Amino acid sequence: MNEELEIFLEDCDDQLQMMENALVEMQSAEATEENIGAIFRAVHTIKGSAGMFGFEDIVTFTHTCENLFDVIRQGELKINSEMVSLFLLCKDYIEKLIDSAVNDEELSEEENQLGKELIEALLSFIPSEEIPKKKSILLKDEEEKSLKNRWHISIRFNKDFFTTGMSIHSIFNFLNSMGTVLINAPIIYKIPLLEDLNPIFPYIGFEILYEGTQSQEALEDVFEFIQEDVSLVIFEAKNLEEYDLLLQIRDEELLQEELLRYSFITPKVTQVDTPEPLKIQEKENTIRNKELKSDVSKQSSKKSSASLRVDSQKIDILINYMSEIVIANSKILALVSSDDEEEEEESELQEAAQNMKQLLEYVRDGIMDIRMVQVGDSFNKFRRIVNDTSKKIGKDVEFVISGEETELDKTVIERVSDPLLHMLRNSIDHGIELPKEREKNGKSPRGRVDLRAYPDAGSIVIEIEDDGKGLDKEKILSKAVSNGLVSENANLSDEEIYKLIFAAGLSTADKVSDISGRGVGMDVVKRNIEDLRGSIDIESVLGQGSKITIRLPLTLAIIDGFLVQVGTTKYIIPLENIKECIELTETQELEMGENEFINLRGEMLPLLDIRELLQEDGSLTSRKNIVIVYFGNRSVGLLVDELLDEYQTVIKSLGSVFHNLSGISGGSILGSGEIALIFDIPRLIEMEKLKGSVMDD
Amino acid sequence: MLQNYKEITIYEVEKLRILFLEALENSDTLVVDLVSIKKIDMVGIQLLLSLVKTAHLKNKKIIITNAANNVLSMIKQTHCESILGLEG
Repeated sequence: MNEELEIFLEDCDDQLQMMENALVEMQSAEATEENIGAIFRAVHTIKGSAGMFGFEDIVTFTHTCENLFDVIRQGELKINSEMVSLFLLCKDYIEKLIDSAVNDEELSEEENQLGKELIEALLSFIPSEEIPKKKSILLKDEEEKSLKNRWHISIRFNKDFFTTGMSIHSIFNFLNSMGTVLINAPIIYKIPLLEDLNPIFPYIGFEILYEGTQSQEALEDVFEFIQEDVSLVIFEAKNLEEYDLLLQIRDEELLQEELLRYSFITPKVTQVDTPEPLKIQEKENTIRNKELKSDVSKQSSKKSSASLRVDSQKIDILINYMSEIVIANSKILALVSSDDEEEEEESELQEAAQNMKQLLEYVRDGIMDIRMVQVGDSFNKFRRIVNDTSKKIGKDVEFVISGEETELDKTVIERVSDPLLHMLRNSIDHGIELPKEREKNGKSPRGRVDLRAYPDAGSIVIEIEDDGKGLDKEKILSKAVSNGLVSENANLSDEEIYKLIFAAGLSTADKVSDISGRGVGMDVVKRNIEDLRGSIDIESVLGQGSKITIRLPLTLAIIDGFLVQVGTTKYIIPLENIKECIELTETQELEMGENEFINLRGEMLPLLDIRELLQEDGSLTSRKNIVIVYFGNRSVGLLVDELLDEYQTVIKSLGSVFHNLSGISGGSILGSGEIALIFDIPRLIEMEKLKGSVMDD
Repeated sequence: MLQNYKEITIYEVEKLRILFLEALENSDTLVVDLVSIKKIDMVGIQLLLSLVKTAHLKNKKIIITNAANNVLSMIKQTHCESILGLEG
């Protein structure tokens, strides 16, 4: 797919999402002018963009949607829930049309039939007196004629236009479908001889006289999608002075001759009406201002005007290079600090290397920041699904999103999206009760599902909370026992029981629906979250509701770490998980005895002996240190030999051989060429928790 | 001359440019028979325009003929048919 088509697709995705958000909002609240306007604009923009690519099916379908929305927008028809549902189906159908157009695929017979039915349904809502009104736009009666304006459109193409895949013919077709092209003059004098011709460079241009009822703004909108690929001048053709300005703007020696030849202007007009130089300057400014103004208005109408679309792959490549630079710089730093000859030079070298390190940190943070996107867009996509799911099973659910502005790495958001969707469906299907049942239990008939995001202690927390019936411990436990997941005599805490729902094949749903309840999925959800170095917790009160808390790292590729050594192996602990570092004193060691915890300022701190856990050799030093790490509200002390230094770490995957190595999230190459293993603190704490020794803060 | 081509689009234009140049070198009258051409785009039309311009400058006779309906309608949409001598 070429770049232009990709942009078209992304743009359509945005527009369709906006359309869906507005429609879903309308389902639960009164339709606002703002929402109606947003939907109209979305459909209109898609129609315009599709027209540029010659995707006629999309243009025809969106045109019908647009007509109905226009009637609604004018206040001649009040939108009702039936129409909202129909528009949601239309949104899905437009999505399908775009997909097949972009992939150059034919629609199936059923899909074509669906399109026809949707168009019929749309037309059935348009009041009968409106149809002739709409059709009358095409009639050339006197009244209509007087409303029409004649516009001069001058187009030149930028050097890459032909390679963008957009067709000039589509532009002409589109103009013809909106009004009448009275003159279309090809400007060919710039086309060189065959010897000098670069065949894919657009030398040709067009001067067009167009008649239509549109405003200048509406006409400019037609070209919105290719505005960066063409040089465009549009003005009302009756303003003859503006032809002089066109000649100045184009600065083409032979253009005047061509304008005369095609009767855009007459010799008299150009000679008599030529304004004085000062006037020309003023007028030129007006045209340029107009161009600028229309640019500004276009930009302000686009949400992402101040941003630049960048292929996320390009950022990934940049991050990869950045990772390599970080490793190379670590090597320089290691060399500089080990070289103790010529003291004065060394300090200068060290200073330069430190400086470099600092700058690299800025660059790294900058690049990582590019990847950060707000979770709002992703969350809003769930509105429709929550809405459809709850409707389908006869439940009334208020879906509340908060913390939309929270930022998270794009990859993390993408990968967490499916697990979130799965859990939301579960909440609605199994959590929220039917309205009657809720009323019987003294609850409001309308259930509530909250989806929140907020930053906390170097990670991002996403919560899904519902006020449904909560998890039934007994039921989960008995199911787990019957499935052989736990033994009958197992003494499990509430949290441990809740976490059993993440075990493969365990579903407590009495009925299997097509939404959830097959017990396939929650284990995948947990695995996906853990693959992102995140964790998942459940709290629940029977009869009152459940809360699922997901903690995710801010980013995936590079982290700030702390280098420690145990035996002969070096380990990296993510700095964001470190609370403090202390030395294990002889007194504490004596007090500890055989126990695996120490008394830290009057509180018990469970210890995890890394040497024992990972079967390291004996210590090279007599000192022992404790790195107190935390994740969420739990802390544990990691017993290590040496505390080395802060270290900027690139996380490299260890490969499938090490897949079962719990508590290690990856490896990193140190400046010295040695390999260091990176601790997965959430997983380590989880492992310790299962042993029952982790301290809750 | 064009019997091996089915389209005159962005993918063929460079080869055709060289073919046209050679043909202009070797004869005084050039007949561009579009009978096998099923598709043309703006890049192709621009190539034909350059061919006509070059032929005129070199005092060579050029005849473009046998354009299929859809090819002719693509050319007509750009209003280049008279320049290419394809007004039929």
